[in-house]
Amino acid sequence: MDESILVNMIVELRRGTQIISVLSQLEKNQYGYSLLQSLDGKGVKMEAGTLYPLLRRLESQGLLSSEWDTTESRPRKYYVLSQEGKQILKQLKEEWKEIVREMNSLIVEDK
Amino acid sequence: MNQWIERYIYAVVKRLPESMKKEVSEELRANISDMLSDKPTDDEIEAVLKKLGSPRVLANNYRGKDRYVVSPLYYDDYINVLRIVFIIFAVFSVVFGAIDAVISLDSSNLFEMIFEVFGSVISGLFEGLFQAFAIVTIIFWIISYVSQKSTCDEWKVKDLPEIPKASSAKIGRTGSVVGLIFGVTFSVIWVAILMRYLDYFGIYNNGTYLAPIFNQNVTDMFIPYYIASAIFVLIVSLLKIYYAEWRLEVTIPYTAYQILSAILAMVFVTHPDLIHPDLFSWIATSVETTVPEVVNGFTQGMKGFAIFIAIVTGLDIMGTWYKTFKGSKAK
Repeated sequence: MDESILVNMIVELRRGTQIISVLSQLEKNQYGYSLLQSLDGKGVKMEAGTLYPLLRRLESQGLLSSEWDTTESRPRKYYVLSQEGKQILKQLKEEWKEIVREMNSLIVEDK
Repeated sequence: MNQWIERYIYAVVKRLPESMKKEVSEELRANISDMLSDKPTDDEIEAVLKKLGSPRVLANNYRGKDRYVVSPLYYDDYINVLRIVFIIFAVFSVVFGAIDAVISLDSSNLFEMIFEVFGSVISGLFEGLFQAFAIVTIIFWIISYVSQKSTCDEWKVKDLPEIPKASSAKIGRTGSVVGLIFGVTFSVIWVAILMRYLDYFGIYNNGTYLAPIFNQNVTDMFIPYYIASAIFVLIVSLLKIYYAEWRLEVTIPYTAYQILSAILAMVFVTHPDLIHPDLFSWIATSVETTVPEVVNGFTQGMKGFAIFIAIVTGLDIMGTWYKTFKGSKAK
């Protein structure tokens, strides 16, 4: 079997979970790299080159609000869920549970 | 700040719209510095930049939406239209290139003339193909752009294309186009030779003209027929390209052309006065024999050649009709 087919399918499958993963970690303030690490700490691997542009996109869609912190030696851009982002995250979570339920009914083997 | 980081950031933001550049470079700079230690080594910087990936890919991620000249949705249509327009433009530019070459012929010798005709045809062909490519691409660019803006992808069942009839008598369009280019070009060169450059067909010895090969009175007589034949080959090639299969609309004119051009060639080579008498006497003296014997041998040879033409043409016509009927039965 061609390994790359499977790899591509896994990438595709995981791509859909990126947004919900990111939103779920932004109940409290995070900057790009700290978010990357907190995702990593929970076993969710995301490329830096994917995460940073995604944060920007979610911000432009109004789901995140951001603030520059220039008091430290390193300036950092902090992101947090906006009111709208919280709404969306709630609905996405519901949808995710629904997906899990549906998938389980499809793929869990009958006993 | 390390120069590699700045160069990396530049490589990303130069691909982004003006409005994003400032924000994205600040964000990137902050993110990269977070990923590095306080006093980073060059190796460390390189590792971090590698982790972020190719600037082109990263810029594309920042931009968010895919951009293209021709939308993937329209790509197949684009290729099909391009193919047809290429064929049309190729035909027109070859025909006009050949006509143009004949009108403005001014070279004094045969080889220059041949190069001139070929050069004019080929440069016309390239010009035509580039124009076709540019026009089709621009139109599809506009279509892709407009369809990207509108979200309607309505379609009607009635608009679905008819299923084409299967046919085993396909004529490849590429082959037909190549045939057309060569057919027209050689016809034009041949007519030009008969009209203006006949003198070059002669026997020379150290630059002195000994004897002409053809009898001009006879070849002049054939010029209108060869011109007609050139036009005929053009029409038949266009029919082949248009229908792209052997069917009666193509096979009948093709057969007529094959028969007429075979007759023309046979009459031409067996014409008793085609060859200039001076040539026969020159040959007779150089091989030490009599003129009637040379004439006799030549006539026999040409008769054989005429029979050969007849056989080849006959076989070709038979094969073509066989394909035509087989193709029509397959329907």
